[in-house]
Amino acid sequence: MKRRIRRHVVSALFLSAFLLAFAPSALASQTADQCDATPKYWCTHVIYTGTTLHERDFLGARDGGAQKWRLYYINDYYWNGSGWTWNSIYGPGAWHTNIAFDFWRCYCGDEYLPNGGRVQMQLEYYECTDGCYTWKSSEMNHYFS
Amino acid sequence: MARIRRKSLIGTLILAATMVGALFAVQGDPTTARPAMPAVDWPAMTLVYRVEGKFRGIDGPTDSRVFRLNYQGLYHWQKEQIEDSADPSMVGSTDSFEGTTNTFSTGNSDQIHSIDDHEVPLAPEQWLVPGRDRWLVDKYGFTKRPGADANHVVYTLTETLDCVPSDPANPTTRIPQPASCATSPTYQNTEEIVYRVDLDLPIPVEVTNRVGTEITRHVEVTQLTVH
Repeated sequence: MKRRIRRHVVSALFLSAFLLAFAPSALASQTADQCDATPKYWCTHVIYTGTTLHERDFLGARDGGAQKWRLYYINDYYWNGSGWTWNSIYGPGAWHTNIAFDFWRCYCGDEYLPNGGRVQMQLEYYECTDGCYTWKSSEMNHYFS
Repeated sequence: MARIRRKSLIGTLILAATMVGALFAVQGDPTTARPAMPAVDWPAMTLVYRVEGKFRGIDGPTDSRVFRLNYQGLYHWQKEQIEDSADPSMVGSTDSFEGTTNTFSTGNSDQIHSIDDHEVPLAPEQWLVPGRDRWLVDKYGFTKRPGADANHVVYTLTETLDCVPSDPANPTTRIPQPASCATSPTYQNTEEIVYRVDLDLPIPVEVTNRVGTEITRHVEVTQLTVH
């Protein structure tokens, strides 16, 4: 009898550990894609659970004919009941030169945004012809609550 | 005498090494060399332009945004969003560049942010770079043809791009792909830019991007006033 109880306790512990490790991601939602309709088409979305933001993802090509690109900013806002209040900003990031179609995730950490969140994402590109200049992607806004 | 000659030889070698080093420092790494500043610029002007695009996914609806740009030069401009069909809270968003500083705010938020690390000018849009038309053919591979009248010229670029298979084990890393990628390993990407050429420096007035035959973005300058 004792042995059986011990077995149940051990199983319950394993199950709890498994749920703790995987349940948040299993319950997580993803916002609809917001895309930059420039020549090298790419999109963004964020992954969240309730009002906790987990991941900020960029998907697709990021060269757009440019020599370099970088994360310009990711702005996180929370809803204060009447408007959006800024919570945190990431960026500008380091310049990158890869031009392949691929996937990039900002490991900015989890963020609790009470009453709902708004995440703004934007990249910047660098190019030289007879002179050098930069430009920004369109700003992508993701909302969740 | 031989000692003097040896000293002079060593001196020459050190000088040569220094000069070669300096040359590499200046030209060897294009990412660290001091960037050249754009050579030409447009006069002060006001533009209103509409951007219609697949901002909610390549197979999503087409949304429309309108911007008003007050352009005094590549180092001095202000932009305001005046329409947004999908997200009206973006109306009133501003974006400006002054010297080395980009300042922006988003509609429905009183937060204003500045990023002041621009060692080269920030253009209002990729297609709004003065003098870019001179590089479209040789650098980017566009073809050039006459436009609807003598005041317009059309540049077109057609590229064949590889489709990238998604990782079925991780759907959150799905790469947005045109529908044609279901049946073909590649797809066609086209960009067409119409320039007004009756001005001292041509100005783009229409940009169209297509994936296959579908328009993913269409930009049209609806008002242009050169001051």
